[in-house]
Amino acid sequence: MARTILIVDDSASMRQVVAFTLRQAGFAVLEGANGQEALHQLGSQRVDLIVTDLNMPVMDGITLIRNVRGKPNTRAIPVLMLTTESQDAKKQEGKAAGATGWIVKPFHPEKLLQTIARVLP
Amino acid sequence: MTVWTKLISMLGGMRKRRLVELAEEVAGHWPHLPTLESQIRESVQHVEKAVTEVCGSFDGMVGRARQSVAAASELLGSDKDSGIESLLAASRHTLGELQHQIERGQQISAQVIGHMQEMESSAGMIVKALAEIDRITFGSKLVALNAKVEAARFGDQGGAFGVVADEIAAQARRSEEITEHVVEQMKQLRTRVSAASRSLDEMAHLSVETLEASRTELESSLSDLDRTHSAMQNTLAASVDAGRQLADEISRAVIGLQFQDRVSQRLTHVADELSEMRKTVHLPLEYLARESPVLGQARREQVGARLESRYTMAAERNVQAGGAPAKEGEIEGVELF
Repeated sequence: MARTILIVDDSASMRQVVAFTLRQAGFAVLEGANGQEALHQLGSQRVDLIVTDLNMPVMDGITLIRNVRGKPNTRAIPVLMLTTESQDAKKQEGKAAGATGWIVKPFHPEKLLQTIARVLP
Repeated sequence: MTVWTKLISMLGGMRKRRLVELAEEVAGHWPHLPTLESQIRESVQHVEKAVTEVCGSFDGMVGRARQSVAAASELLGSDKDSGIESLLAASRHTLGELQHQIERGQQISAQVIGHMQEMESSAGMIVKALAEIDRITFGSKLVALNAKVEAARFGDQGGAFGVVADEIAAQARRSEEITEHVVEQMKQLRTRVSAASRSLDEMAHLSVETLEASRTELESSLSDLDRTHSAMQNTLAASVDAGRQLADEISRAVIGLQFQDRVSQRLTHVADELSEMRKTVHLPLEYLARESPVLGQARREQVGARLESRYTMAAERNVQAGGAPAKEGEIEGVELF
């Protein structure tokens, strides 16, 4: 059975780019346009990993991670930040919130897949 | 008196004139800012939609390419037991079995022909034996005739002897008739066995010739199929390589497509800031417009004309004129001259 990855980004094109890369590697993909939509997906679907943007309307990536880490059934899911943001302060904020890793856009498909392979349980 | 009125009244002639010029300049550009902001946001949306569609197309292209390669692989027998390779092997096996069966049939035919020739030979010997019996019968008839003559010479005393002689003659005739009948039957039997033997021999030779011809033809067809199969395998291998190259190129394209996200973010930041500027600067402008209703009008018209002269697309001119933005994905029509 294919592992399921939830992609969270307010940009439909970025979701499409990431989804394309993941589907080609054999993953099943779920999508959300912000943190709130992602939490809704997590409430009804089994997810093995989350790839999320940082800056999004309604609920940003950091708040999403805090919510994920705060719930027993989602606490252990690895969360990779995929963002144009590269400031150390933001990275530290993400790490403190519970992010598993930080990838700066634009990403190389192979590197994204290698990183996912390393953090998938 | 408002802060602005006080501020302007406090300024000297030269500085006041300069401030008015600046106010003219700002008031001239200001009304165009919403249009520029709208153009930026509209462009961001269009580019995002285009990139989304391109990505969707990539997904479909790669999916269909994979399906084609999988189907070709199955057809060519990469999957064992299901392709042309296994079909070729099965055909060769069947051909071998057929050849073996026909050779076996040929052996049996040769044995049957041998048995028939033995039967024919035995029938010949029987005919010879019957000729001997015929001679013996002829001798018996002569003996019966002599006995009859002797019986007649003895008169009444030889009567009983004459009856025996008659009986021997009758038995000899009966034997002669049976011998003739059996000889006739044996001749027919020899003829039929000989004909059957020849037919079987011809059939056996015909089978071998037909088998040889069919085998040669089938081997030729199988060799052609083999060559075609090899050519198809080479083509498939080339297709697989091309598929890999396509995947690599698409990966590079995927990296390239991400420019859109960065550009969109930057343009959105600019548009957001334009929006903020309009919020914060509108108070002094409104004041200046109240003080001088014609403030910046000439400059505004000048800037408007310049923008309009730069626009090349109907969609841009629509927005500039305060019309609705162009529909997403709208393609302008063809015009023939």
